[in-house]
Formats: sequence, C-alpha cells, structure tokens
Amino acid sequence: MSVGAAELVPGAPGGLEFLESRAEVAARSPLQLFWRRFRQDRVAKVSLAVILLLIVIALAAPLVIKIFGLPGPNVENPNLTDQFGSPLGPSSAHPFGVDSLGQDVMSRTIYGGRVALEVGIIGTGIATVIGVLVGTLAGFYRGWVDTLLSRLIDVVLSIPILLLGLGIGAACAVRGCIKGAIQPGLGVIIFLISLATWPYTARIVRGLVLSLREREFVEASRGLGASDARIMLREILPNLAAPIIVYASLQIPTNILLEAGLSFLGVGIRPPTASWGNMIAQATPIFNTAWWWMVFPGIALLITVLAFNLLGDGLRDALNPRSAR
Amino acid sequence: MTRYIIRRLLWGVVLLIVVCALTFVFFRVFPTGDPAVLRAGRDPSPGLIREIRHSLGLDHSTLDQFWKYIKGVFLHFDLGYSYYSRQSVRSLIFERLPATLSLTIGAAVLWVLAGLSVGIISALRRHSPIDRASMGTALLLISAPEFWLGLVALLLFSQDIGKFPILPGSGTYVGLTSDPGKWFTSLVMPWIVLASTGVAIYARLMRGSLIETMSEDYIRTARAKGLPEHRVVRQGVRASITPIATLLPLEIVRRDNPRRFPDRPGHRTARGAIHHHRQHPRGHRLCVPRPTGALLVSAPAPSCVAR
Repeated sequence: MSVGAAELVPGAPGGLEFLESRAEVAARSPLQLFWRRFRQDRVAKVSLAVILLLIVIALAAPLVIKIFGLPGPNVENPNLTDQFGSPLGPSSAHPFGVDSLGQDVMSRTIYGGRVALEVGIIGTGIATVIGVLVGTLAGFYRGWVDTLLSRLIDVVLSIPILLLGLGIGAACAVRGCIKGAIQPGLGVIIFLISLATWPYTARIVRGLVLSLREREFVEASRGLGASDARIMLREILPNLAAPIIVYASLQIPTNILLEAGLSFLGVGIRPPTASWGNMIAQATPIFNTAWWWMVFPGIALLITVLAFNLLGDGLRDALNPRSAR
Repeated sequence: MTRYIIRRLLWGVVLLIVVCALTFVFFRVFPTGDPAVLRAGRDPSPGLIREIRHSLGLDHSTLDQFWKYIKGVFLHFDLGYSYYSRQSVRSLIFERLPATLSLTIGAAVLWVLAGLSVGIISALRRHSPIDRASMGTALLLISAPEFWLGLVALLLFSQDIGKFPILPGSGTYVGLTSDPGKWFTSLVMPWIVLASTGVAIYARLMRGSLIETMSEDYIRTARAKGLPEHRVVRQGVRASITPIATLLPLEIVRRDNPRRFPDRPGHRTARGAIHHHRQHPRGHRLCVPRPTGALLVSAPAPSCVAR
C-alpha cells in the first residue's frame, strides 16, 4: 500500500525506485522468491551446508577414513583392548577410541552416518509418495473412497510403531520375510518407517486437497474438459509442493531418530553393520568406563538431526511468508 | 456431545480389537520362534514339544486361540500369559505399574509446567536473547534421543559415576510407600531427562500459539480499552492453551515407552519390551512387558482424543 502512496506523490523520494522494484518483484517466480528468502536465513544456510557435508562424508566414507588413516569399520583388533578386555580410549591413531572388539569408533561413526542418511532420506521419500497418493485420492474423490482410506489411516496411526517395529523386526531380522520382499537390516527398517509414517502425510495432504478442489482454478480446468488425472497432477499437485517439502524435511530427522531407536532396541540395523543406534546400545553396558563408545555416535546423531530440523524450519519460513516467527 | 463421545469410545474398542488381532498375527504367525520349542530346552524330543504345545493351547487353530484370548481379555480381564517369564501378563503389568506411573506422571507435570512457562516467556520476549537461547535449547533437546540423553546425564550428574555428582544415579529407585523422600530424589534425573523433549515441544507450540493469539484484534481491543498488560497476557494465554491441552493425553502415552527410560541398564529395560524383562542387579524393572499392555493403553487413546 505504501508503494501506491509513493506513486501518487509526485517527486516523492524513492518513488521511481519503488516502481522499478515493483516491476522487478512482479517478474520473480515463486522459486526465486523462495530462494531470496532462504538466502537471508543464515541458520538455514549453515544447516544446509552441514547436511551437504554429511552427505559427502557418507558417500565418500572409504576415502574419508583413508585420509584420516583409520582402519575399516569392521576391522577387529584385539591388541586395542587392555588385559581385562576393556577398549582403549581416544588416541591420535583412533581419535574416537575403539570399541570392545577393537573396532575404530570414528570409522564406525562415519559408516553409521551412511545408514542414518539412507534410512532418513529413502524412508521419508517412500512414505511421502504413498502419503501424497492416498491423501490426494481421498481428498479428491471424497465419498466412500475417502471413508475407506481415512479409516485405513486411523488404523495404521493407532498401531504403536515401536511395537510394530519390534514384531516385524524380530520376525524379519534374520532371514527376511514375505518371501524375501523385506530384507533384514536396512530393508526392514525402511519398510517399517515408510509403513508407520505415510498416514501423517496422507492426512495433511487430504485436508489440503479437500480445500483445493473447491477452488476456481480447478473448476476452470474442469470446465475446459480436463480429466481427473490431469487436474490432480497438473492443478492440485503443484499447489501441494510447498507443504509437502516442508513436512518431508521435518520428517527426515524424526525418521533418523526412529532408526537409531529401533537399532538401539536391537531390531533395526544389527552389528557388525555400524549404525549410531546399535553402537550406543552396544556401548551402554560399559558406558561408565568406555564413554567414548556411546558419546561420539550420539553427538553425530545429534548434529545430523539438529541440522535437518533447522533446515526444515528454514524451508518452512521461506516457503510460507506468513508463518509466525 | 455425549453421543459423539460414546461413538468415539466404541470406535476405540473396535480399534483395540483390530490392533490386538494384528499383533496377535505378528507374534503367532511370523516365525519369531516357537514358544514350545523355546521352552522344551536343549535337544527336545518331538513328543515333548507336542506335549508342551498342547499344554499351552498352541495346537488349536490361530483363530481359535485368538477367540480364546479376546474372550479372556473381556470376560476375566485376563491379558494372556507370557511364555518368556512364565507369569500372567496382568501380574507382570501391575508389578511395574507403580514405577511406570511415578515416572510418567512426574515427567508430565514437569514438562507441562516448564514447557508452557518457557513458551510464554519466549513469546512475550520475542527475538530477545532469552527467546533465542530457549528456542535454541529446545531444538537441541528435540534432536537428541532420550536413550542417549539419559546416559549422558548419568555420566555428568549421577552421584556414583558423574563428573558433577549432584543427583542419585541409577539403581536408587525405591517405592513411594517405602520412602517418599528417597523416591523423589531418585526420580529427579529420570523426570528431567524424560521431560526434556516434552518441554521443548511444548515450549515451541506454546510460543507459536501465543504469538499468533497476541496479534489478534481482540487483544488490540483489550489493550486499547486500557487493560493492564498482565491481564491482556492472561487473556491471550488462556486462548492459546486450549489447542495445546488437547495434545497432552497423546503425548503422555507417547512418552511412556520403555526405550525412553534413562536408567543405567537402558537397553536392558528397553529390550524388555520384546523379551519381557531380564532381572538385572542394579536397575529396576520398569517396562510394560507384553505388547498387549501398551496396546491397551495406547490404542484407544489417540483415536478418542486426537480429533
């Protein structure tokens, strides 16, 4: 409104700049607007950098441990425990110490990051796809489709995820199950996480689609003879992008914590494969003497989850200018 | 409203049965290990296994077993029998209930009080150093898993192994009835650790909710007619607490799970959820032993309360 006032007053200071900048703003796409806001958020930028760094470290794990001169994550070395079998603490050769099998904790922490990121990103991806699909169908078609899908969502939501995890984890952890469709380890945990989290996305998407389908642009599209599929894919889906991105980015850290929790309980990723959760679990019985064994994976977990949470907050603020902050 | 509540409760019962059936299927049909074989000891003869299977009622069809189970639950409040610890599930649950309740209720009180006050202060002093510090801490706490936070808290503050020995460590728990003072001090650390994530979540929610409320028109009206600021704030707080209060029952159930118990033998109590419990010398046994136990509490609650 102040722009209008400046236009009306001839020769008002900055009047011309206002006009110019308005013309410029009008030319910006939503993506550019988002990027401009995101760039000004220092915390979000730092967390994005941290996440990129973590991803690079995870991808280049073999190279990274070579640079630091560490042994592989599964190299056991009985010489690194004292005469009572207690592992040795941090030293220059093993900055994070070793565990009770003489495996290097730093190298296991780096490889554990691979698991955490894989589970977090792939699990969230699958859950998001299922959630969007179910939510869109339920919201768009309403009626019995909606009733059926909504009840399904309720049932899945009321299953305690941890117990489901223990059940499926125990059943599938050794040989896999459903005729090999679910592989033990990473497969089980990704399956579990996508199974347990898609209803949340579906609920949010359903609500959004319910209100979007009544909007004029959908009506216009239908008036032009567009098919249901086209309306859903070309009209409704793009409008869902921002909330879905924000929700998924906040779901990744939750899922990383879930992976750690399930591995901690012994039904997720099992040793010898390193995961932050199972390292903390293994370290728990002797955590008062070999503190490094649980502290470092925990800190890695904390940094990763924190970075994703901060990035998610930043994305939400940048994508939703009206968010209360 | 009454009709609505009745409908929700009935729906809760239906859900309960569905969830019971699902877990039943998981634990009976999936090859987690035959309880009869587990029980028979080393190198059992097929006859012995058959006999044990018969005595446990496992030779009936799954459907038959499920029907018997459900009947037991509803008619006699018999929650079944733990093959692992060879006790009735009901006694396993009630044995641990006092400790679980002490832990959960104390932590819930702490997280509501602390969470709401931090949230209110942050919202009223928006963008101040206090706000930034408390929101930063909140995010940090949300990002740390409790099973790790508990261990770190013990390493730092417990009297037996901590760097700054100020609080009783693990294995000091006593029942409320035997020594209230000791009961309280032994639970301080578990309460704080257990409540930490809750406090963080509540502080964030309360802050967001209050900031939104304080920009409403009626708050401006209240200020314009000259109400003292503390009464304006009171109005705002009252309006913004409602949506948060509805979350509480859900959160209590969510928090009340064995993984989060920050005692020394953390993973042992936690694993207890599958393997029921293992007695260990220093910690206390504190977990809902059989999935059914947690299911009974958690399954109807979300469906009744969430909407």
